[in-house]
Amino acid sequence: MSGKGDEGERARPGGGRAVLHCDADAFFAAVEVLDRPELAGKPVIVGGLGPRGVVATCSYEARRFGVHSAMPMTTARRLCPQAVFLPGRHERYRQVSRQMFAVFERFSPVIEPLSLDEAFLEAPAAEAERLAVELRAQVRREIGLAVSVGVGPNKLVAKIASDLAKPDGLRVVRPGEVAGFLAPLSVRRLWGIGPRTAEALEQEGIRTVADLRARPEAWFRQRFGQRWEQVRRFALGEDDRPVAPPREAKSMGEEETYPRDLEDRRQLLRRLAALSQAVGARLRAHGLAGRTVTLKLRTGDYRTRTRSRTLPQAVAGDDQIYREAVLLLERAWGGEPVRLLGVQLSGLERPRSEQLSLLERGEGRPERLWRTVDELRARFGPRAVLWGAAEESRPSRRMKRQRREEG
Amino acid sequence: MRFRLAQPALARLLQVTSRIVPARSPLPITSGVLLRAEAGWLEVTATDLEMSATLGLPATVEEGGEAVLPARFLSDLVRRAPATDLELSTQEEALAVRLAWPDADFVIQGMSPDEFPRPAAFPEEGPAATLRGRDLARVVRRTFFAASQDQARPILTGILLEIAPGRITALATDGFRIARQEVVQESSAEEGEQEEGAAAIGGLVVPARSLDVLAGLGEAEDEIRLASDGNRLHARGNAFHFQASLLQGRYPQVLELLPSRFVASWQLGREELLAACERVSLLGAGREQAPLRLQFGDGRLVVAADAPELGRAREELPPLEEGEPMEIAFNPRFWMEGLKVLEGERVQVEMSGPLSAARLRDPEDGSFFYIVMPMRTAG
Repeated sequence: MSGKGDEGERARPGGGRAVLHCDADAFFAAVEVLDRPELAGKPVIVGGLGPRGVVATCSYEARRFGVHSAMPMTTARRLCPQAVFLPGRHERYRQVSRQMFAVFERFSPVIEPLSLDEAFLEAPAAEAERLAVELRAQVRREIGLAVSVGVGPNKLVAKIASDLAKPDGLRVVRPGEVAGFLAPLSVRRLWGIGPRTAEALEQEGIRTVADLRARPEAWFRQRFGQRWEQVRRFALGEDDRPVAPPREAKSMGEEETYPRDLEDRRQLLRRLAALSQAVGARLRAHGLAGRTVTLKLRTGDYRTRTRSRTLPQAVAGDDQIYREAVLLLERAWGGEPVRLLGVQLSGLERPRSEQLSLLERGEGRPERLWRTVDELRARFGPRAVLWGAAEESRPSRRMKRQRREEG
Repeated sequence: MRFRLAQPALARLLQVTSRIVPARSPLPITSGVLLRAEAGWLEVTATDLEMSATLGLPATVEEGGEAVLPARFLSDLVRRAPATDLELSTQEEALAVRLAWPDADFVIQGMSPDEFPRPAAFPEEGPAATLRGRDLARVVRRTFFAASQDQARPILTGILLEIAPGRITALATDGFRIARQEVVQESSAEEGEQEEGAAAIGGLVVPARSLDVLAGLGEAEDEIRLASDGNRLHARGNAFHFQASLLQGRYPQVLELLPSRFVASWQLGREELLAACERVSLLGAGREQAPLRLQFGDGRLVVAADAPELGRAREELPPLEEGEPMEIAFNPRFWMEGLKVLEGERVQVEMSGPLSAARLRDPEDGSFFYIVMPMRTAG
């Protein structure tokens, strides 16, 4: 007869299951090298090249010079002036990412993407290592990229294992090995322990996970407040969060930070048009439409205002979004210098698949117009169709454009 | 009225006519069937006011007359009666009828025959055409399913009939797909020409439900004579007279809207394709159906569906004949009903774009085609 403990084991999410954390090494830089083999072996840095730009990814060659992602580009240029600096081709990265995820899908039906180059996969524990070896081989053979994989009994361990496996490695941590695997690692490796917390802990003489684990429960309570239990579980190598395939985004937006503050109304309208166009295209590419339009505006003195309006019907057309954004701008802007503008759509809906009719055709449906525009842009480039207000609306290289998506 | 008839014969008559009797009706008399006995012949009439059918049989009639009895009750009772001669006779009490066989005796309260809506007489003058019962049944059965069930556009709940001597064409559409079947009768063409009063009866729109009933009534008949008085379609066979109100209004010219040319034409094994589609579409069964995505290209057809939270499905089929590549999606029911109604070994799938109508047909049989509009898939 199986005891109570066994049942608990089985009921726990992921019982008998392992988690694979798959992470492509220096993804953007690796794609650049893939497309331009002459870059192989050179430091390659991809990111925003303007004065406020940051490093998105850099090759391992660049990392040797101390460059890392999220570093201001100006610092990166100082550390590694001989690197090849590239602005990034997100469309291409997305394309390669899709190919890579198509390979992932052969190995597990349960995939949680974390970004273009990173995902958790769930697999039977007994097969996890074999699958990881095969997955790495297939991505290398079919796409030409190195993927590091960490295998563990849960997400926490898998993620740390893949970090340690990099570059181009595989690290498997079996359930019985978790304690020994984590013990010597820095507390910084644990989720929920940021640099500041880590520094404070180090001051108390707590450097490794083993140090942290040795502390009594009461100490955790006192030290971490509400989240003490989670921190303690992570320190013990426990993590019961399931591998969760993505839910749909709840909002989609674009925002821009300007190298020089904007003061001219016409300039602002042009940027709004460009942002509306970018948000609209993304919504439509995802087959979504949104009911709430939000405008975000940050003035030169870093004051941020948002204004929003909920429409009776979900919209996805550039013009519909722009129209609302302009009305919101009137409410939000009093003529001050503007440092940042953003347009966001929330209350997202997926227009249902639509049965076409034999009898009602050619009705003036606005989606049809935008579908045609999107097709033209896909075929002839993003500037194939521009509308009046957004003329010359490409973000300048020095402008920092950010996508926002909230799940 | 007093007559005798063998139980199986009467049971069949009542079973067929009770198909017409409405479950609920504003006119209570229509829940009954009219029995009329006269000179060695019994007729049973039922109507739902839209259509009526009268079936006749030889019977031993001792006394002519009429009665109206509750259709369901009578039909249920006769069906359960022993296979012997049954005797029906009107009673002294008003409207009551006695149904009896040896050892059994039922008295059934009837309704007044005077109130029963009488069918119009078959129009002896004017254009008429003669068809084989099984041909009429065939055109109806192969188009019936494509007619609309939606009363919002009543005209589409009908089947459009074009009748000419030796030829009948039926077309049905619900606005999303079209089924069209034609039957040419080789042998009767000459007879038709000789036949007096033979002429084309064009553009009758008959409720699909009425035609379905007619197809059942007339299937076994060698000859059915069809005529119209402008308001009704009349059909007469050896042992029945049927009439149905026509749907009034203009039937949309759906065939004119179709692509003049199909750019992609593929041939596939019909049953294999249907089986694959049935499996893949199980994913959406029971809720709002996930579109069935078809990708024709690279020497294969991929049938796929995905339903959020349910999963994904994908099957690949080799074509018998390959055409231009095409990606298109359909409502699985509309698509599969087309595949089911085709009978051949092969199906020819012709398309002209992901948002344009596609045509399904049997490459060996030019008498039928099925047109279906695709779905525009979200995302």
